[in-house]
Amino acid sequence: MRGAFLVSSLIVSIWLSLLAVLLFVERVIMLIPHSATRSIVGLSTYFIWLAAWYLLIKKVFKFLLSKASSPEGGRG
Amino acid sequence: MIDAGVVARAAVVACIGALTSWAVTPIAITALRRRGLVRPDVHKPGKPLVPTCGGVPLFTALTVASVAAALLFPDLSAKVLVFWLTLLIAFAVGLVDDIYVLKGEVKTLLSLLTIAPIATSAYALGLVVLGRPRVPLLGTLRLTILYWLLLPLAVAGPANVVNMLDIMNGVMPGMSIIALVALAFTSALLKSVEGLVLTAILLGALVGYYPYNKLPARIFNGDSGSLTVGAGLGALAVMTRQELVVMTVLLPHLVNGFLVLASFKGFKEHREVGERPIRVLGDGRLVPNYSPSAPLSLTRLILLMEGGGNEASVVRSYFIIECVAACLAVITALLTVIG
Repeated sequence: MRGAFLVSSLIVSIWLSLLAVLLFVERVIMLIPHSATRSIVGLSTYFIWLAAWYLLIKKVFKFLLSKASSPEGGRG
Repeated sequence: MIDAGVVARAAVVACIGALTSWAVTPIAITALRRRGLVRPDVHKPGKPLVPTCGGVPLFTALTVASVAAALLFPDLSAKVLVFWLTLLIAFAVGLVDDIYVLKGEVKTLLSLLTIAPIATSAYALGLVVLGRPRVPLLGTLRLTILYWLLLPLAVAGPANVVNMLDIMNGVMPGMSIIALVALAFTSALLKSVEGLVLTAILLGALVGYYPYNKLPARIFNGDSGSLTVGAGLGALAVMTRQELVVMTVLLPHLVNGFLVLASFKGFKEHREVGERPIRVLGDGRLVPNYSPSAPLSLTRLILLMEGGGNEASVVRSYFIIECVAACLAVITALLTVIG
């Protein structure tokens, strides 16, 4: 159940942050008057959001791997 | 809310789909075994051979349910046809892969064709409204560039991520059923009759099919099954403007797909992959791969947290996770209605 709880927590956090990013882009970035700048800043925001989540999940994996040890005896 | 008569007719569509897949799947199991279309069940001790190409009975049921939907909802028959054509393309790509084994990149490129019926119906016939996704608190999103950049992936994306999470007995149909129950609610909340009808087509076929694929599976879905169901979910999203709702309900699939793609650095067929994210011990127990260079996946994350497990425990975890995603999808739709 711990695995399901961790992944569910991740899913909820990703969903909340997705709504926040959508609101931020729509309410703040869409106010930028220059169209090309608006597109670049908007796309960059989505990209940063995606990259941040990837790096965070990678960190979670690293943390869990450092804590865990193989049941077959030893890591790696 | 949607009229009770519409709900009743949608329920009839779902029942017809369920009865068809329930009746056709045992026939398909016998026929596929006779033709030698079998694959080893690698998560079981002794790796028993199980017939694959579950997409065949699934697509048969989806076709029968689509005909029923077109007859019971004549004003939606053109949209149902577009939906069925999308399923047909995904099924054809999956079937070719099941029989001849395509390279990962080739399969992904071919799956991009699934957007063709929807794009044609939008541009040539004006049947579908594209580029106006409904989102919570904002109403309609102004995705001027991003939407059109992502449109080719709108059906191929869900098709491939559903395929990537089709890893253990019952996971694909089980998670899809949970997702579709949520989508039936969201369609009702958003007063989308076509959403309810398309959901009924998929849901019925999967409910009748699930008993044969659940642990221990008597038939594997194959790419013909998982690509078809995933494409159906993607088509439902685009055709009913529920892009964000479907994205939410598919979050576990999307996160898994993203992790796999990022760690594999591209599309790879599972047979082309060297190091696996998890390992199967002799007694059938599953353990995560402890190598730091092993690919990332949700299953590996679940097993890392639990220190190992078996197929049943992983499947149960996935169902719990999908229930959470389904609740979030319903909240997304509720916020959209309120907003």
